[in-house]
Amino acid sequence: MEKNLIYLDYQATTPCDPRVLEKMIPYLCEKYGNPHSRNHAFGWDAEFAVEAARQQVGDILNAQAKEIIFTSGATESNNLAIKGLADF
Amino acid sequence: MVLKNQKRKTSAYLDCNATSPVRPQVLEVMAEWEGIPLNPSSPHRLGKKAKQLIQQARTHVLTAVGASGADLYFTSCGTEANTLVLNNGWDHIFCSATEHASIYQHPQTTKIPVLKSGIIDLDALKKCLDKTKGQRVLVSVHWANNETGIIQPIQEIRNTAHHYNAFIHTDGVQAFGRIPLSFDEMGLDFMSISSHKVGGSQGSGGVVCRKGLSIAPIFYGGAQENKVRPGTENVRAIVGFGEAVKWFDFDRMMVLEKHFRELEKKLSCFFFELGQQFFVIGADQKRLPQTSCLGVCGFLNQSQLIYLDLKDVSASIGSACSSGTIKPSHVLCNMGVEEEERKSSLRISAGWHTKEEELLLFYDVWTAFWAEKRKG
Repeated sequence: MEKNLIYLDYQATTPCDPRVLEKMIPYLCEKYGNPHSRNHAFGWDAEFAVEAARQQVGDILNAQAKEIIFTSGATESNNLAIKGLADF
Repeated sequence: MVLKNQKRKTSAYLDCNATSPVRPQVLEVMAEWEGIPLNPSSPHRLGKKAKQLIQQARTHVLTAVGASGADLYFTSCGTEANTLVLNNGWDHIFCSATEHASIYQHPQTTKIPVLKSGIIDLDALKKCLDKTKGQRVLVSVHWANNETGIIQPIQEIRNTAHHYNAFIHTDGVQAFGRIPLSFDEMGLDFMSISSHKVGGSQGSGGVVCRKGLSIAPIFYGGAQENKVRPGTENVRAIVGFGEAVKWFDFDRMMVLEKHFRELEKKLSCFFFELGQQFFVIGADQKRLPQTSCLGVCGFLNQSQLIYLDLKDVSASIGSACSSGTIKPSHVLCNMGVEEEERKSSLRISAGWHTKEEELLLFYDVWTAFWAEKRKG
């Protein structure tokens, strides 16, 4: 980011925390499996990572891991929640 | 921060139709923007920068898909792209019986049978289109199959659809980046693509849409992607997608094709000597250069894959999206492949990073497996 630029728009988006990036990198370069690939270690590693993340998010929300459904973002989540409830 | 493409631990990754590693060039470009907050909807200079980055990526992807005059709406993945097109208020949707699960399982689809060759039965399609004349109809047929690599006659299918005033969509996720193709030259209406199959990261896909056609959103909540796909864009993944398409290497794909066909011949000879029936699904059909659905009857594919994995060879059965299920592949079932072949077939698929020695390792490990079984 430019040296003198002050960013006060965190409600729009935030810069990625370097610790988060460090955690993500192996899953781009080395452990790049599809978590749905059931038949090899690449898939198992990816699935393990997704499920660990699910548990972490659940813990922070005081929810069970199986209550967390990952989506592409909050807009999709809002739409999914409302449309899902509409069927009840 | 400069990202380095770390060394892979596994010796042979032959499941690129499930996903592929991110290209180092893509990682470099994505890394340029790490630590910088980029929401293209923000009014300040960072927002404008983000918007510009997305537009650049859009141009690159449209050029790569041969659709410079079309619209492209970025989505989170190929499944979402397929869903957007299919949820567009059609009276009828006719799809082939060998589509990816995201189309096959759509409740509104009527399946058109495929012939034993894996190619859609055009006569059956014509009968259905004839019955639904005057209605708002979509024909959705994949360009190339994710399990078998078989390439559909998209030109003929498109001509058939348009003859009956139906719209044509193709799931191009597996074909894009593997074979040269052109959305404009084929005269298509809609096409789905995905980044992580071709060296981009997971998190970006897209719908290519002929100019003048509209797509109804399935989300509410924002004006992103011309209101077709509300939600903050995954700028990083989109930038990566735009970079990945610049590195398409069809010469490399032709080399892979040569290796694959040589591998199939070698395996055929080996199993002939062993007195066992080796098969390749769709051997006589036009197929993707880097995909092979092959097998030998007599041993469950799941068990073979465990053996392969223990020897550091990653292969697959069917599609990743359905590989966790116990049911047999609808693709092979609907092609009329015999149960014994279905239960024992494997899929190997290569990508931008695949070296010939990985295919040689597959050959060595797999033939050793069968030689052991034969002795036992």
